[in-house]
Amino acid sequence: MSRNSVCLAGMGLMGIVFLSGCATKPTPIPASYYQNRHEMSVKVVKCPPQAKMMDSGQGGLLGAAITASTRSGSMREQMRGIQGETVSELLRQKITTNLEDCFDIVDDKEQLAAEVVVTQWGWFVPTTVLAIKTGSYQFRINGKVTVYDVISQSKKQVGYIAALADQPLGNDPSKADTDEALIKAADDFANKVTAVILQNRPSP
Amino acid sequence: MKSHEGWLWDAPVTRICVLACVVVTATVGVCLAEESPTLEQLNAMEQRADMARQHYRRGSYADAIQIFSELTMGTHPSVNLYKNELGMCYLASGDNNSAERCFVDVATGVDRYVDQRLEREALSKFGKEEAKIYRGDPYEQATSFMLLALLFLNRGDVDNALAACKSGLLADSDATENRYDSDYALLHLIEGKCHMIRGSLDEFHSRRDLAVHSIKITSPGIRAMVSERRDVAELMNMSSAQRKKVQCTASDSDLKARLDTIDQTLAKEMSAINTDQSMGTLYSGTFNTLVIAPVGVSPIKVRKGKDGQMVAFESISVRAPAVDLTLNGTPLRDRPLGYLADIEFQATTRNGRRMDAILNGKAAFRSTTVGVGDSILQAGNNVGGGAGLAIALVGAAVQGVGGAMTPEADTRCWKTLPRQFDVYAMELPQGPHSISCQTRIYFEKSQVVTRDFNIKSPDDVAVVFLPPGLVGLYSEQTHEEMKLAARDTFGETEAVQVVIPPIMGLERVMRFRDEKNPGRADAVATDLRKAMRNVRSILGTQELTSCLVTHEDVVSHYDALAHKAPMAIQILVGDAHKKATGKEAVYHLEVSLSLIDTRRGSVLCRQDLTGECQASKAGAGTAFYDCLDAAVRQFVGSRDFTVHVHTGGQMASKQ
Repeated sequence: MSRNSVCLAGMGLMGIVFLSGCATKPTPIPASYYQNRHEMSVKVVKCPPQAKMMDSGQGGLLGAAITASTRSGSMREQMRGIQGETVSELLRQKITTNLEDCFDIVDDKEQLAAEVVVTQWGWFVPTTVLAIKTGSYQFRINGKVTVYDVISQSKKQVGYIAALADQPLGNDPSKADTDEALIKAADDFANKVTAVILQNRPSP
Repeated sequence: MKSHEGWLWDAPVTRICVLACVVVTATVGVCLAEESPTLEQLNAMEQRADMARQHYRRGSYADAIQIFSELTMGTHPSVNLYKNELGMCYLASGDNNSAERCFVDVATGVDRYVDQRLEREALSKFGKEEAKIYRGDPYEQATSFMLLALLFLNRGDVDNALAACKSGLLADSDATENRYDSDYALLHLIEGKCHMIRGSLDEFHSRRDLAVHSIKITSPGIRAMVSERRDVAELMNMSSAQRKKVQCTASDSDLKARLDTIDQTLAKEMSAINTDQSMGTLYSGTFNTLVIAPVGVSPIKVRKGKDGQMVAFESISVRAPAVDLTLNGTPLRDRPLGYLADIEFQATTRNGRRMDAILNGKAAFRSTTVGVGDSILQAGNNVGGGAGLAIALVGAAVQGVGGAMTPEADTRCWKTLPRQFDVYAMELPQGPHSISCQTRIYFEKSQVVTRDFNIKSPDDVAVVFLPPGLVGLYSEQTHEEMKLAARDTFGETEAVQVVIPPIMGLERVMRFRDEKNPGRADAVATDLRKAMRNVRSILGTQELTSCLVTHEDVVSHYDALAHKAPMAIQILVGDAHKKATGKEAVYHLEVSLSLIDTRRGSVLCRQDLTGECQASKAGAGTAFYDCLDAAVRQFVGSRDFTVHVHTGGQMASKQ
């Protein structure tokens, strides 16, 4: 009996692992949604309000301390004024522009809802032990987009993609470099996600 | 003796003299020991130059000249770049003599000012390329000489014009296979004209033929084929190992056959191009007036690659409305030749620059070093213990060396150059003439710019430089195609009272500068369509029918739009700033609003207003639209606007 319980628990665990694997798989919107022109809303539902200094994570505690103090200070100096709201708005605008060819973008009473979640944004620096920098700074946006059919019962998920956009910043990024990289990273992120989300659209 | 010295020192005059000597010595010492500017200072200069470039593109030439003049004082690595750009500002403002001085300075100063230290640093693995002395890419050098040649020709200095042409052609002649060594058609044509003036007709014919050849190989229908030919020729020069690297499996005989096929097709296509007629008086050499009109914006250099080690060109596709030209009061109907000096093509058809190769080497060395460091580090981890830690630290240090290398490319380039120079060649009678040009800022006709010139003798050639289009006024978002929803635009045959072109002066990310602390600012990602839609809804509150139009619509279909809507509201956004007192903040946005008679291009009324709003929890993003809306409401609610909307509407119905 106990052996069966262990087997069942194991199978359950495998199922969870399998299903969670499915959840992260990129899913384009099914072709049926292009038959009639649907209305879609695009919203950034979550975005950290402040930029985060990220590294490769190989520097241990010391590395984390260095990245969080010196490098983070430099990043804040060059990104002065840029908030999560700025990043969200850039992403929303570009994703909207990319989706407009296939859907009517509306603010409310939508049939489809594209929800953007930005998990991290800011500078990324590749580092090794003792937080030694081994490459140029990058402007990074990390996040995911989920598309829901809001008319269907239980808000069915019809599209999903997680993406990462990196733009080179150089070794001593200036304010101008940062602004330019932010715009390019936002455009790159939007282009990456919409390329997958719209994969099943009919060819013109 | 002591008392004597003490007496001397006590005397005020002596003290002053000694102190003066110390000050003079210190000053001389500092001057002699003056170091080249740091990278931070060079970056700060580049930021100032960007401001000047923006003034230039908005037609504020005096402001641009002031900034560039400050930047060209003294010697620093970017001085030649800013002198070229200052020259362009002088040309746009009609001051040919000052422009000539700038280009002569660049021509004579490029090899004079050499900072050995900076050059050494730029070439080292750890140096920054931006610190090297700007000499310009071949297309920039050739264009500088081309402008100088035209200026010399304009004042009758044929010998110097000829010398400038030769220098320009030399600067442009190092591409693969010598296939592109003479593709700057305008330089060949000016050189030919100089020979003709000097009476060397044979020389004129040979230069003219070279110009015709250049026009043919650079004509839009041929370019792709010429480029492919260059690729194949380069593959033929590679070893089999190198070909493998670029995934080319073709043998020598295959490549030779491909080259022959391309050559045959190329010869056929080129013979079909009839340049004799399209070139008009340029072909016969009988022209005595050249009108040079800058069009568009040249491509800019951007960094590519993981470490930003590669240079690539990025096109800026912003179209400005067409320019109306009149010669002695009569509209000029001649079609310009744009392919004689196509800067975008000249910039993007060169490769294998020496500095790029060094950058690539740096990047390769860096990745190798980082890789070696990683291996040592792994080895250290495997050994473990004290010895392992030591090995790991060595590995980390090696990786650190890789990280300290600075392979990012220099992206300085001549940003006040146009995408191309349109050339009008004419044969005019001797005597005084004038040429006037007028452009539009969406629906508003700009001020008329007139250039007077005099053709005094049969050998005289007048060169007239026109100002560029005001592309800097248009918002950054218009550089890409703008899409409007059906509800925003005209219906099938619907006419409206007011049309709303894109708001001008917006950047994708703009900032509210803090008045008390200039270093602080709130950034906003501006949504052009949202701002335009807000304007429309405000007009709706005044019971005015309106619709939105895109940048491309206004540039391409101006007449049709003016027929559908008698008036346009044009908005130019200026400075954005905020005043913070404690936790409170008030945002201000300076806005210039105009009501335009679309059919006449005249301004019915204009107001410069400051939109104001209190800080809201929603942040600067909401504050931007609140400020803009406040200014638009104030304008639309003003008596001036109401009166003119009424009279403008009546005039339109009469027309």
